[in-house]
Amino acid sequence: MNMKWYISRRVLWAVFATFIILTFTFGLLLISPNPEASAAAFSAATEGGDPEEARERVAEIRGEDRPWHEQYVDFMVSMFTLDWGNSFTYHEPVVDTILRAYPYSVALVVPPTIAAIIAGFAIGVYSSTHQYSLGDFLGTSFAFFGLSLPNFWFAIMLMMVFSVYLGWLPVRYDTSVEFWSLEHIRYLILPWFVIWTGAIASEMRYARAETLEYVNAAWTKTARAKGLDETTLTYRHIFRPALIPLITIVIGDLVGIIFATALVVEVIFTVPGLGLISYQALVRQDTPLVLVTIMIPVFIAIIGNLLQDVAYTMLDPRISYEERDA
Amino acid sequence: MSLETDTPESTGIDDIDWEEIDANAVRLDPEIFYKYVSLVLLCLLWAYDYIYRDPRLSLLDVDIPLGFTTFNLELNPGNVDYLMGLTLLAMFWWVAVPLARSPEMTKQYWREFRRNKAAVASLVFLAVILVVGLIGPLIIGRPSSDFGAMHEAPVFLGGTWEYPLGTNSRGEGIFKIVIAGMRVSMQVGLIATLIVIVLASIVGTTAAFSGGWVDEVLMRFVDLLMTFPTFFLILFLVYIYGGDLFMLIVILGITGWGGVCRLVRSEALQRTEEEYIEAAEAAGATMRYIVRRHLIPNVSNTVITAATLAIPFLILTEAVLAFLGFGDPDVWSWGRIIAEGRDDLGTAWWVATIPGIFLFATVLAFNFLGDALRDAIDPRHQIR
Amino acid sequence: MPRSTGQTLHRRMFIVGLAGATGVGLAGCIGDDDDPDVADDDDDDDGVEDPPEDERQIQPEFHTATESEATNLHQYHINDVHSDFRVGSLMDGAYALDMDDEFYPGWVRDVENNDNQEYIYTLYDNLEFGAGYGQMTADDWEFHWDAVMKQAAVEGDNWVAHASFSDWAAIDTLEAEDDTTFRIELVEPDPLWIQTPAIWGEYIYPAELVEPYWERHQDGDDDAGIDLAEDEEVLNFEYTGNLGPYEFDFRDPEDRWVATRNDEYYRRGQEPDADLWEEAPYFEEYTIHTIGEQSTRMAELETEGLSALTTSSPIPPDEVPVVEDWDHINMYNVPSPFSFHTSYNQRANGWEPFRNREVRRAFSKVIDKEVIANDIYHGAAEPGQTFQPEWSEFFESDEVEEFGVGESYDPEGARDILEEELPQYGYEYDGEDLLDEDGNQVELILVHRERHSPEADTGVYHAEQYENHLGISIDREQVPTTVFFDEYVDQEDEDGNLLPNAGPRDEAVSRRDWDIMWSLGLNTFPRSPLAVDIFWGEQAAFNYMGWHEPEGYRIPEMISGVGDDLDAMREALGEVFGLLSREQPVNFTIYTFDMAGYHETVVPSPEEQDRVEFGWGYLGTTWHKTDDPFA
Repeated sequence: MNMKWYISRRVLWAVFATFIILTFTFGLLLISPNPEASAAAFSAATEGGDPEEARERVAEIRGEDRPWHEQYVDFMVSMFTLDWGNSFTYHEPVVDTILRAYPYSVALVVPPTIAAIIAGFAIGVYSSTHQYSLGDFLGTSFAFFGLSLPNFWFAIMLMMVFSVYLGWLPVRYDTSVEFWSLEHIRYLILPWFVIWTGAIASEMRYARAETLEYVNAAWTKTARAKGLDETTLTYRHIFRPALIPLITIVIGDLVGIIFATALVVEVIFTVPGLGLISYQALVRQDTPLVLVTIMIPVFIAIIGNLLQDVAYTMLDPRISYEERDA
Repeated sequence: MSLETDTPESTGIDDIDWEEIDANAVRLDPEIFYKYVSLVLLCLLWAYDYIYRDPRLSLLDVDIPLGFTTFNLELNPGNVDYLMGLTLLAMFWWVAVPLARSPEMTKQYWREFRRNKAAVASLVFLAVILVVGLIGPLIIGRPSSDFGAMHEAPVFLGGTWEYPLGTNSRGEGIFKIVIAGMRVSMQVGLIATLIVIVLASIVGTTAAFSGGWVDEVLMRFVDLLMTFPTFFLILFLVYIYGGDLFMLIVILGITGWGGVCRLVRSEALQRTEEEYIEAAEAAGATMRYIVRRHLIPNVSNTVITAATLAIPFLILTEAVLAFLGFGDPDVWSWGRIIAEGRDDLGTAWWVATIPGIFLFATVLAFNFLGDALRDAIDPRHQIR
Repeated sequence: MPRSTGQTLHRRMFIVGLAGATGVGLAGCIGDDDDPDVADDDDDDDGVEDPPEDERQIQPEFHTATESEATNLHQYHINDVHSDFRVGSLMDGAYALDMDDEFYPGWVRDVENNDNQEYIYTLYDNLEFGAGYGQMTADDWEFHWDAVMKQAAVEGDNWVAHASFSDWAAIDTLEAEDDTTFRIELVEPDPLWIQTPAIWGEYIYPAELVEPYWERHQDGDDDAGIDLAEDEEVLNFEYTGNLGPYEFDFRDPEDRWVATRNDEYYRRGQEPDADLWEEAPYFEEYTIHTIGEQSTRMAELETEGLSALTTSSPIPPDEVPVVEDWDHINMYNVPSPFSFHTSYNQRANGWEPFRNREVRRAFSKVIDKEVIANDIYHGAAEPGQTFQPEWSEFFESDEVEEFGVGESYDPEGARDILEEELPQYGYEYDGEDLLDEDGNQVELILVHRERHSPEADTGVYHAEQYENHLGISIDREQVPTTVFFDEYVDQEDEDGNLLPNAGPRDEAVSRRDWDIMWSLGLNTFPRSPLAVDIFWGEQAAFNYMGWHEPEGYRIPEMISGVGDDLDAMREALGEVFGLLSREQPVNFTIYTFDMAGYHETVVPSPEEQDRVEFGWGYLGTTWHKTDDPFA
């Protein structure tokens, strides 16, 4: 069993898994009633027209009047040949829609996530090396508060205080603001804070749990017995070995965090990012857009998993290719 | 290795029960007997209510004289309430009773647990929320609208004691809403977690013990489940078919067990290496027997901590869904009230603020509790 | 028709809240009234500082918002207010109707009515399409008729998938007389033809743009209509030329739509009202934001991030009390023609006693419409009594019987009626509760759509009134819009088609059972309400509740043959509306207002400053701002 075989098997799995998930999504959209068709049929009926004809017209406009297997093959082929077609509702190539939306999501999610990772790791390592101290208690408590705050509610409260009541910050995200500017930060600061408080706890937990393992490890005790000072000890013997698993965990989580947090924060702050776009595409049954918005995160997540595993295997010789991380 | 019975579908409680009783008929342990009789009785009650009773008629409607007044007790449980009953029973038999039966271990856990003051406080708080949420609405009734008393301020802002926490745009008392919301959050958190535990344990232990292609297929399925953006799936299903609390809980349960399942599997993998399993295997025990008698009990610590940490996540998810307008409109979810209150921030800030504080506190308490449990039962374990 | 700064929707909209995402409704349309009011609570008299005419200045920006994104850019497909609102900033349309329901020019400068059957339309002579398509002439209209509308409305070949064509079936011929004049000959005389939503507000494409597709279609190419919808010139609005106040700049879906001032606008300085149109439009840039969150829209309006919320995305009724406190926002209370009603299911899966008019009348007596209009809708609604708002000129108060206002809100009387009528169906009162033959309390299903308050609140109010005053237990179901139409309103005919009236009431029933339904809003077309027979009567296409006219009445017969004579029409319609009010096939609960909110610096046209009626906003393009908060 060699590395090449292992990786290619995993890549194949990534493709296959994406395929399964797309098929499932397609099937779901296919069997669900289409609100636009219902609406068209309904108004046709009241106009004295033929509602079924109106329903078919909507289907025809969307190319959904063909047998389902033809549509299915078409969609699948176009997904995998990267020819993603036009959005039904935005009347532009799906790629354009996605490309326009993703910088907003990135600007919204990445800075606070990175900040949360740094802060979370710092607090986590501190807590594990100072278990049961006051600092440990405060740090953990803070992280728990962040984890438990319902982010939608927190966002509203912040908006109420800082934007509406005090008037210091804008009420709504504005895309016309220069992207690379200080002004932009004024618009982003509240959503950043909301995401940051939400993300910090999980990073802290991982960091604390991982490093705890090394705090009590034999080599740490040996090093301490040899009289190594605490800072060096923490860094060299506790933090560094823990860093690898931590980083892999973080990579895997990042995608999930982006997509899960993004929607709610985007809805509340009206940021036209990926979360909002995918959500609107779903409720309007804009099939091409739905499939792409589902496919991208799924594919990234699976590849992310793969990278995690590869990183693990290369960095930690104890794990063989055959064994999955459990 | 065969796998004909322990598939995830066999979660229908009663068929498992009967087999269980048959299997143990030889040496009838009274505890096991009561355990399953109570579960079966609950299921029968549900079946009777479902099949023979008009859904709108109360199952129980009695006046209890209390000397100075009579208290009308009216119970008309729906599907969610029966599931809640089932969950509480399960908590009683699989958590409370085992703890009571091994006082030594319980004491040890308690010593560990007691060190964490925040967790003890959380436990008390959650117990209060659970009891008030379950019983409160029976006493004070559901919130009812009063279009003559819209947006009344809470009593500490000059409102009246009729509405201690003020009212919303329909004149419904926030106090009653908050109490009704306790019940909803508890139902979502506990029931969905039960579903998660059942599915995760069955699939996880089966995969670990069977190994080979069964393991491969099951764990690949878990992979898929975990990569699928389930949040969007839930949104979509609810958007198209309407949000009913029962459906919502079931969907949350059956989409959310992937993480716990992985955990159970890895835990069980370690256990299968251990001697008592090999001994049992050598003695000719069936796989079903081994899984049930040895694997599941031995991974239960992991499961319980993972479950406690899953609860706040589930509660928050339900609240977010309700906030986005995808909840059950007939249910007093805190999330829904926050969303409604959002439109009233200018006139009545308390509508969104007060339920939010309760939601926050409940989730926080579960997180503290779960963390303390993890430290108490298994200090080295990390849960994702 | 000018509606970029103002409001107004001209398409034939039948139902409120159809093609929306969550909680999104269609608003719109137009009317007239005798007691208009500018609903602002400002300190000064009319809330608007009237600057002298010569102070009209061109300001840099105008911002407004809608709650939902446009989903159609192809004018033939537009059937939602959000798309129309956006495209309307680029294209005026044929003509508008003012607050007296009279013709007001758009591309069409003048209409001449000959004997109610022949109409002569004259276009302005300076209309230019973009992208090199040259002048818009009468030939473009003739082509529009021949290749598109006639095919859809007469030949039954809707190859472009046009969204609203049925009114065009009344046309016999449409011919170009010369470059700027075309003549329409109707099948039957119609004095209200100008008010009928066929030509008014119609958008057209240059004939040469559509022609290649039309030829392909004639050659048997089935995809021609679909390809037209994806034509780059169509999707990028390259054809709009000088036909609207603004030119398309760009759009970011779910974010904003930006248009810039059209330097060549044809209407500039033209009669009538040449002075108003002198430099129109009065904004360099016109932006429509998409803001899904109600509270964010309101906050933006308050903090002056938006210049206005127009009737296309009006101020929600529950925000009205808040906005009343904002001195810098003027609110305009624009009547809407949508009748929101509470219907009683008289089909086989409804409660049997609802087939008895006395029972229906009793139910209507326990709903206090003033509570709904004043308390739940905060004044953004008024009680309705029949399928015509009170302000309509076709509303005959002598004919109409009132329910649920003043004395006619009568819970005790309702109870007395039911005590008398219900025993024949096996229902009896026992104390407070109404019991069935088995001694169980009667329970009825009340269904309404899942929307934000106050619509949902009104559903709650209904349930409580029935429970408290009629002793009936109510099972209230709130469902999403799709489910509402597919599962409750529509029934399935033999071929599996879902229709609002799929057959006789004893056979065709909706998939899910219901007894009472609240929250459907239907357009009453107060300007030309002759289409009433589409909605009401045993055979009516829209008779989803299964109502039958009483013995001796047939609504189609009552209004037949009155087409040519306005007085006869008025009389006949008056009788129909009277009949509907007495019979109560549904309780015509309320008519809503669209509450538009404008920043105080926005100055409407002089006429629209002190008069707000159905049709308000028709001069929207001439509005200006005294001062620019964005500068």
